[in-house]
Formats: sequence, structure tokens, C-alpha cells
Amino acid sequence: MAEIEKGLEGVVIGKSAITFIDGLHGILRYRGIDIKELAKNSSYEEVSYLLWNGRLPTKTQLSKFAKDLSRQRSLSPAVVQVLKSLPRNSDPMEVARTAVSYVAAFPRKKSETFERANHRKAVQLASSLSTIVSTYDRVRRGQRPLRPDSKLGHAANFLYLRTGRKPSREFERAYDTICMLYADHEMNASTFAGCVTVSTLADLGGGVTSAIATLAGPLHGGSNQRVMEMLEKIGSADKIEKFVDDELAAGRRIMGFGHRIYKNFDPRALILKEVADRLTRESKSRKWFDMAEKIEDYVWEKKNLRPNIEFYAAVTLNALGIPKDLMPSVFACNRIVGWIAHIFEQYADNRLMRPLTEYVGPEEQHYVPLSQRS
Amino acid sequence: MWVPKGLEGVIVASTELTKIDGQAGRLIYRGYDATELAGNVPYEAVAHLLWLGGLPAEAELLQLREKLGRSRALPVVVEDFLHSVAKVAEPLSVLQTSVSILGGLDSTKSASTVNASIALTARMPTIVASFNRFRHNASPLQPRADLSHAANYLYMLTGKEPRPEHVRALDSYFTLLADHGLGASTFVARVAASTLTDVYSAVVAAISALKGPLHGGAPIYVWEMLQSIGRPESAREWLRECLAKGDRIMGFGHRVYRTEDPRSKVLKRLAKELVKPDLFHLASTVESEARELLREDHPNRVIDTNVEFYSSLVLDAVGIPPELFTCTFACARSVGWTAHIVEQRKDNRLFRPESEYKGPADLDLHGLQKTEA
Repeated sequence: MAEIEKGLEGVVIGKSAITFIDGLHGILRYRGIDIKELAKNSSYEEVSYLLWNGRLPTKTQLSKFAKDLSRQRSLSPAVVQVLKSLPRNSDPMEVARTAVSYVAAFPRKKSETFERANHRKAVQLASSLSTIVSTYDRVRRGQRPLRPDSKLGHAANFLYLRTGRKPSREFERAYDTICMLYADHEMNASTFAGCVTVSTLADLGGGVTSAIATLAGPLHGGSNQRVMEMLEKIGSADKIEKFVDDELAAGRRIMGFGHRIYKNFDPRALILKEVADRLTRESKSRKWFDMAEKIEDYVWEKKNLRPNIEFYAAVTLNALGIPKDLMPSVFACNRIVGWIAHIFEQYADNRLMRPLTEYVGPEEQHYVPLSQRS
Repeated sequence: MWVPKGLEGVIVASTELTKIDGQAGRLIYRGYDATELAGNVPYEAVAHLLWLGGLPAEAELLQLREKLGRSRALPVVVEDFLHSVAKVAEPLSVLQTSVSILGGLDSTKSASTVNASIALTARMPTIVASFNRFRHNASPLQPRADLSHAANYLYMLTGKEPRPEHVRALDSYFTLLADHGLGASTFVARVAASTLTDVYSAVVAAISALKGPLHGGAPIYVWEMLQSIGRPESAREWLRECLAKGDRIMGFGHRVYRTEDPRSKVLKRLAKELVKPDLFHLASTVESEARELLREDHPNRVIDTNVEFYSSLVLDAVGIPPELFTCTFACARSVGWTAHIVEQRKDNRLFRPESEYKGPADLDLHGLQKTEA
């Protein structure tokens, strides 16, 4: 009997031209371009184009792409109605899952090919998921949903649609950086679920719905929220050492540390630390940044572990005014372009994913009539 | 480590649920031959077997029946949703979205995965039936706790007391389709569950995969093929043209079975009992012509009927409209999906494979290859 590839760890399931990760040296590249360069110079729209099309857009291509996204950013009254019908204490990630499933529920027109419909849904879902999440956040607080501002891009609109205030240049840039860093990370569980789904030639909406359903699990998504909860639980800098000591003594993990692939450091965490540092200077959320830095040093001293993307993402998102329980869905709002890039790649060279199990249940037995069973 | 594309032949988990012997054409649930269970034990007993590990004693069966029976009604939010989309949306997506809404409403889902599985399995047929009634301008019927899982589904679809032979046939269909190892949808459910997401979320993911035409169990395509062929005399020519165009013949071939799908035999027998002789004659003619043509085309490979072929006839005969075939399959498979989710959570390891990067190496922002410094 062949070996069981539990969790498929270390198993190479195919080729991909999207994202390169060198876990040993902490390198992450989208389509060959280092994440550090992108974070400094690019935008989420541009990175999305890069991930989907394999190269950076020209000026004309970028403005057309941004316009396409902008046109799809508003929600139909029917989607808003669904958001309003859900209980106000719903988990935002479950709401996002329901809304994406709903948006994907409408059959394509007879005149539209499978490929065209997928392309339309890609733009529609990538653009509107952020609107779904920010709109639900308003609805649950009893506020009136807002219409996206066509003069603002992906990042600024998300912040605007929650609060009704146009974000400062600094806020917009900080959030845009998070968006780019979250955009893709190769074949993680949610992306994999999306690819398995469309390997049946299910539509792109189905693939994205699967991915978001998979991200809802605590072993995959939601760490940014748990980091923020941890910071609040610790409360102040003088309690850090005791907290970390107690957690480690109890055999628990410190939230936001370590990564299955990055053995030394997560390059995204370095970038976000700088972003969080700049953003919290002279603000009341500086406290959380200072605490985070101390935790980082102390965990390094005790465990030789470095923070991952979620650690400083939590501090940054908090400084941007994003409530804790919305943080996991922020991941989804931006990873969606990575899911879609991998889904397109799966379609382009498809083979149904149909692995096997090893049966370890009882040997053959025969049916015993109910009356003779004890 | 490199593996074949599509993970073909790769073992990704051990399971106590289902054994498929592709060479001999056998399907075994926890040691019991599925074709022996079908029709001999009620679907609820098979659900008990898959969820809890053994065929139930009488009291246990009653208890599960009762639990399913009282869990069938839908929350108002879901009913309103079904009402609002009935005329415009596609049935399987509506089922999926409804399951997603149900998940958000079930505050006890994390307490017991098995209980959440029971609640979800109980409600899926209600969702499909209510959706169908809204679609036809009728109001949904209240589920009946006195009826079996299969009987209640038929009752809620039609509003009539279902005929015993229809109930028996649908019950057998449910049993035969309850589980089938790691079909793509079940695999997706396990991948999702490996993040410790709840049962509803994992089933939402599974339903997505069911939408694809390469996933088995979608007998609507067979149904459309039979409608299009129309008469037994046209079968050979129709099938020849189909193959000449490079299209697949629907209801034939399976990644795992190298012989006749064992479920197909039972379904053929049921179809013969239930459907009009003309229709059965058409189907069996198409079956034998297709088998012959496929043997000519692929002399070294056995391509035989799969579960979809006669499913279409059986489902139609018991009164399920073709556009609900795939949803009905989902209702049957919910037991298998959820049993796999329970199993995944028991001995979990996050699914996180790798892909080999074959794109450009280090580029600068102008897209130019960087030179070694």
C-alpha cells in the first residue's frame, strides 16, 4: 500500500506560475516581482492585474482594469436585502460566505460563454466582496448602507464604505499595503479548496465560495483577530512577560508567531511592522504597537520565533479603526484575487482532483435484521 | 515529492467509512455492501452507520428518525430567502446559499459535529422542496415528522401522500448515493474541515464542487441525452455522432471503477420496476449501443455505465423534476460529506500542499530580469 500523504504536506500537486515562496530565506514574489518592491511602489489594483495576467499593466490597461472593478463595486438591492435579513450578531465571515454564494447563484445568460461568465464573475466578486463586508458592518450597527465612491480605489473605498468618511492619504496607503500583502500565498488550504472545486469545471463563483468557506476555519483564517484579542487581554506592556511565560508553560502557541513555510521570517511581517510603526506614531493606538514590539522581542528570546503577517496586520487594522471581528474577512476581501488567479490557472490546464483513501474500517460483514441486533 | 496531476492514485487520508473496489465493482460502507443495504435497511439506518459507526438497534433507529423528523422545519430567514430567489436563481446555488445561512443561524453547531450533521441533513430536502414550491407559485408545506426521510421529501415536493414503491426506490437511491470515498466534493469538504471550520461551511464548499459537470452524480445530463435521442432506433447514430464530435457519452465511465458501477445494477432493476416500458427500452438500448461503441473505440479499457445513467430514470419515475436531480443527489450525499467531516476532525491535519513555481524568476518593476549583483 502506498504511503498516506496526510495533509498533503510537502506534496507538490502541480505547477504554478503565480507565486514564488522561498521559506528558508523569507522571499515572496508575485509573478517574479519581490513583495517588498510591490508593497513600496504598487497598488492593490495593479497587483491584482499582475496576478491575473502575469505581467504589470500599462497605463491604459491599468486604468481600464480599475474602471472595470469600479463599475462592479456596488451591490444590487437584492444583495443588500440579504445582508439586512441576517441576524445582526452574525459572524462577518459567514455573512461574506452567504453573500458570495448568493452572488454566484444566478445562471449565466445563454449568449455568454463559460469563460466570459467566469471573467465577469471574477471582476464582480473581487470588487464587491469588500463592499459586502463593509456594508454588513454598517447594517449591523443600524446604519444606512453607502454607495461606493467611483473616485476612490479598492483600499480607500473599503475604509470609506464602513465609516462614510474619506480616508487620509496615509490611511489609504497603509490599508492598500495590507491588501497587496494578503493578495496571494500560493497553495494554502483555501486556495487549494478553490482549485479542487473548479477541477470539476464548476464555475468560478463556486470556487470562490469554497475558498471562503475554507478560510472560515480557525486553523487557517482569523489569526489577525486572535492577535488583537491577545493584545487586549494582556492589556499593558508590564504584563507581557508573565503572559508569554504562562502561555508557553501551558503548551499554547502565541498568536501571530511562526509559519509552516517561513522557517526564519515572514517578509510580509517586516513590511507591516514598518507600516504599523508609521501609522501609530502620535496616535492613541501607539500603545498596541509598542506592546507588539515587546512581545516580538520576548518571544524571539524565549522561542526563537518571528511574527507572521497576522501579527502586525492586527495592529495596523486596529489603527485603521477596523473592529476585531471584521479582521478575518479583511483577509478574504483581499486574498480573493489570489484565489481567482489560481482558479484561472486550474482551468487552463485542468484535471479532475480525485485522490483516494485507504480503507481501515471493518472487514466485510453481512446485514443482520433489525430484530436480531442488540 | 511529485504526484500525478489530479492527485490520481494518491492516498490523502485513511478512512473507516467507505471502501471502493474498482476492479471487482464493489462499494462497501463500514464493511457492509451498499447494494445489500439498499432497500433492506432504511436510509436513516445507513446514516447512523456512517455517522456513528454501526447499524442501529431498533431504539437507536427510532431515536435518529425522531431527531431528523423534528429538525426539518426551516427558520423564517431561510424561507424568506427561498421566496425571494425562487424565480431567478439556479437550484444548487440556492441550496448552497441556504446551507450557508443555516450555518450562521445555528449557534450550537460547534458543540457537536454529529448533531449539526443531523440537523443539516434533515433540512436539506426541506430547502429543495420549499424552493421548488415557491418556483411554482405554491406555498411550502410543513414537513411531517411521521414520515421517513425519503417519504417526507416526496411529500413536500408534491403535497400528496407518496406511493410506497416510490418511497422505497428513493430510499434505495439515497442509500446507494450516501457516500463514495473522496469524490471531488467530499475531498473539498475534508479540505475545508481540515481548517476546523464547521460542518455547514464544509458542506457549502462541497456543494460548490458538485456544480461542475466533471463531478459524478449529475444525472440531468443523462436525462437530457435520452430526451435528445428520443427513440431506440436513433440511438446508434446519435451516439456515433457524439463520439465523432469528441464529446463524452453521459452516464458512462468512472475514474475508480474499471467495471460496471455496482450502484448502476441496483438502479437499473429499480428503473425497470418503475418506469414505462418504452422509456426503459430506450435507456437499455442506449446503454448497450454505447457500451459496444465505447469498446470499439477503447478496446483496452472497460468503460461501463456509472451511477448517473439509471439514476435519471429512477428520480424521474418517483416524481423529481430533472432540474432538481443534482440537489437530490446533494441531499443523499450530505450524510457522506458530514461523516467525512466528522472523521477528518477526529484525526486532523491541515491540508496544505505545494505547487512548483514555473513562472519568471526575479524581475524588477519594469518586468525585466534582474542581474546577479
